[in-house]
Amino acid sequence: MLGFRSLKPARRVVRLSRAGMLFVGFTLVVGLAAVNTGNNLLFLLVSMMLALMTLSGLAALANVGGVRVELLPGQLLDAQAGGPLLFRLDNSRAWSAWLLELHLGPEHAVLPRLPAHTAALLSVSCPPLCRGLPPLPQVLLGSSFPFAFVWRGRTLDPGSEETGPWVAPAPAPQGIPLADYADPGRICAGRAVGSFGDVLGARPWNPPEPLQRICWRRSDWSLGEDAMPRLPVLERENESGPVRILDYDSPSLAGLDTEIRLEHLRTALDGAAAAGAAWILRTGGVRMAGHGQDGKPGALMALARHRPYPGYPSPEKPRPGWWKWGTGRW
Amino acid sequence: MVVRAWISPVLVFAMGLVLVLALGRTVFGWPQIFWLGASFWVLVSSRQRAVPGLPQRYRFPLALALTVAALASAGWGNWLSMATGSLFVLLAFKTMELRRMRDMYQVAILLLLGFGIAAWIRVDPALAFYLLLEVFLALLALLWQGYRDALEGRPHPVAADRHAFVRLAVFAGSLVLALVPAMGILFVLLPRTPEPLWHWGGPVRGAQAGFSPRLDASHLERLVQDPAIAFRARIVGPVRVAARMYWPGAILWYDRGGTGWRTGQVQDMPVCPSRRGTGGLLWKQQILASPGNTRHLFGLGTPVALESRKPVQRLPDGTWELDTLPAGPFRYTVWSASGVSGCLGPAWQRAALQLPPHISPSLRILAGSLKKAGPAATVRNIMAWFHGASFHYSLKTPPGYPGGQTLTDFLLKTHSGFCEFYAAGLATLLRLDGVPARVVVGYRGGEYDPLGNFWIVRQSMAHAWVQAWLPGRGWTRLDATPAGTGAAAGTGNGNARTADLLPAGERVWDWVQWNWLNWVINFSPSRQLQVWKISWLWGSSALAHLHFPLQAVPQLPGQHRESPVLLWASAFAAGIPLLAILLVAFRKRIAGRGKDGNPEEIWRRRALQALRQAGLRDLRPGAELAWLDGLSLSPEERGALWLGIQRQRYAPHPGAAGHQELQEHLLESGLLGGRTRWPWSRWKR
Repeated sequence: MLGFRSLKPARRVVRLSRAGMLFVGFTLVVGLAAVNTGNNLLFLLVSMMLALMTLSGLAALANVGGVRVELLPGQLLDAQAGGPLLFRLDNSRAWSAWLLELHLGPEHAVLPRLPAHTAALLSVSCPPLCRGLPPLPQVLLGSSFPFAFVWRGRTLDPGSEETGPWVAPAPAPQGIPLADYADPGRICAGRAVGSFGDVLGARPWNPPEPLQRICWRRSDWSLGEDAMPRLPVLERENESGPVRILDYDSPSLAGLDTEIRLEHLRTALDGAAAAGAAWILRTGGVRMAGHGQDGKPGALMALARHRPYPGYPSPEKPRPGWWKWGTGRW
Repeated sequence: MVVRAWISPVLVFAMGLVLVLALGRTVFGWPQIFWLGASFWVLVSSRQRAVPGLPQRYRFPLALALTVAALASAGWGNWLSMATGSLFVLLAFKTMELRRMRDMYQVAILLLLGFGIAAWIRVDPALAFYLLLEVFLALLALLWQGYRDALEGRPHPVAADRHAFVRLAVFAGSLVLALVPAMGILFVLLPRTPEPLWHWGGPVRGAQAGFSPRLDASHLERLVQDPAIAFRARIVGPVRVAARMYWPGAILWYDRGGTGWRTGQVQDMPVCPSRRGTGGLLWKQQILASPGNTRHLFGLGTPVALESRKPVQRLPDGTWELDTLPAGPFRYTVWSASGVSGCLGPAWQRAALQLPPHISPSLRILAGSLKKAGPAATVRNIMAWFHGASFHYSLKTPPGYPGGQTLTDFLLKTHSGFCEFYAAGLATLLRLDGVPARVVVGYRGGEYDPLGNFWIVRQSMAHAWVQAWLPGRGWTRLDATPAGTGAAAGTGNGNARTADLLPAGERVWDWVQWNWLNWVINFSPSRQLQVWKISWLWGSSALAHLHFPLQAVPQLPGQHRESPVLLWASAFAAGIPLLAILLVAFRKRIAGRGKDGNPEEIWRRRALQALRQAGLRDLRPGAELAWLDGLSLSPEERGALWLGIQRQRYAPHPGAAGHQELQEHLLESGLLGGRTRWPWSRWKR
């Protein structure tokens, strides 16, 4: 459980599809005809349809039940922009799970088959969220297997766990120039910075960076073909210049709201990273230094974790009672 | 990306073929050829690329026009061809525009309708086999289409798993295997009305009996070639060899000349005590008759009593008849005596001696030459004459008689014919000699199926024989037809397949047919009630063997310990705690308690649960401080509570003691009610 955000099943959801409604209606019609006529072939047909309903329901239960869903930790999104969220689906049973659908709010992704005793990563688009650690939209794991007559699943309650996707502030539409610079010699003290073009380190590739920057030899595909691979980019030293100080308490940001300050800091950070310049971020008790894209994810995480968080609507979810078995929606 | 686009059309084509097999020869026309062409076109093109589709603007008008053409070409009133023709036209179009799950649903509905048509025209067990095969293919097609849609609907479509289709086929097969017993249970459980409110379906044409209560040479000649089953019989009583099993159906009194005999009842039935056979032997036969064009009912020897759900009547001559022609297979029980019973009144005697007005003088001379002193001696002499070497059995018309031989030709010249000639000749000679006689038509013989313990009587076993009235013995059966001789031996009705044992290859199939007709087609409400009662008795007897709980059950006044009510009540009472335990276990599993078996996680969850009950809504880590700040607590209470929260939620080893402390703090602070959610929660530690 450590490191992962396991989503606890909260309540079951059962939805009858249009085909399922037609099937039920057709069964009723044939059943009425059988009772009225006494024709045993019709009785046999009705029995077959009822048995099919029962068995397909059991198969659907066995298909979805027991599949664990975990949210991969340390994921970072941009506020008001959304992005893909990675979930880990674990099937520890002895049979495969078919046509698994993971819904995240209005978005969803489908995993056609999850073999027995395996796990897979599934990426679901997350709708735009507020900065910080906002509550996730309703997470729903289900399947229309076997015959898509019924969509059967369960909601996953993401509200009681420790880690979650952090959301970095969005860039401000019009950034305020932060006129704070420092001597690069001070920043790089104790570190032998080479001449122009030296490799400073590797960092993850950030779309929409050009693909030519990816160091393909060091790419990591261990997450599986369904997940975005880890693609490193070698960060090279840019032309030496002044170090940009991104200070939360900068006089330029004085008098602004917390979120707006963070958005300006994000804008400045993006600018420094794009320019390949060295930068220092100071927010609250956090102080981080970086160069270009190097260190930017950490800085974004620091901006995301900055307290206080904006106000989130409290997720009030109906709790199923002891006797309320049919808590699913129809 | 196309994911094995050819699999879905192949499955649809296979389903269509099964439907064609189920419908049989009743469907063949241009709609079926059109469907075949469309299927081949789709199959060929789908191997190369995505299945080409018809342009949207042409699709509907073309489908409508061809459907109308199929209806029109079948001819108004030819409902079967109209239905199947339009169905195959629509199936062809759906095959051509098969893209998504929605199309596959429509194909499945069309095929289901097709099987509705098939069920209209046939009721044999092969239909059940085809239906199961069709269900398997339809389930597999729906499974595969869903899987394919999921693959193609991904942002980055990927190829299908190599063995996905096999896995889905195994799943569909397993589902069908599980479907059969479940379907059987539901079939027995579904309620039925004693009488249908309206009749559905036309007469069943799958297996028609060809028995005719007339002695007609041309009719019988066709009949004896028919291997169709006339009826099946399960016999309780003394065992007889097949060659001595006579199943009378109708008695023919009136000789119209030659082999033309017909029925007709003598009105003044003599009043005489009913005799239950000369030997006193009695058989009980459960007979399952195929639908046919006769109302006559059959039974071994002399049927003396008959029980049926359909209205029947006993004719004065002792035979039994349905009031109406049966539309489907029907079952009845008949009790028979071994001998022939009855009396001979004056009117009956006149009828049994009636002769056609223009009878050949040569026949009178022949009869006179065979006459002996007394009826019994005359009968023996005539039978001996018929069993002479000159007589032989043949279904073929003797050479030199292009228009067919007459009875006179048979008796005087050819001595070659089949049972009708022998029966008519024997009866005519007996009457000419003054011995009352009548012709009986029915069946002779049977094939025994040891698997189902029943006899099969086929149309080819149709037979005719004679009953003669002998003083002191009553109506005595006489069969002049030579057995086991003749050119057509083994196929003719004289000795037609009177073998005792059914061929091994046919036993299983006939057993299936017997059970299909008994347990599906003819499954009446009374039979359903019988099954329920048997199940009840089985359940009761099974419980009766469980002595240990019954000994502990207090006996109610006037209540027997072995009473089924008490047994079921005991079982029910014992089942409730078990059900409750299962319910709680299931509920716990749903709630995820103890699912991973990590006790620390369990205590953390319980702490969160307690905090949630106390009013904490924001369950993110660290949010408790803000919650505590908003409460009106003293600094000591706040500190103690925060310590308890930290210990249970964030410390590495939360435990039962910490949970109790946390709950006590919450109680002391007034954040929880007078008790926790579960009164016994303290015991759980």
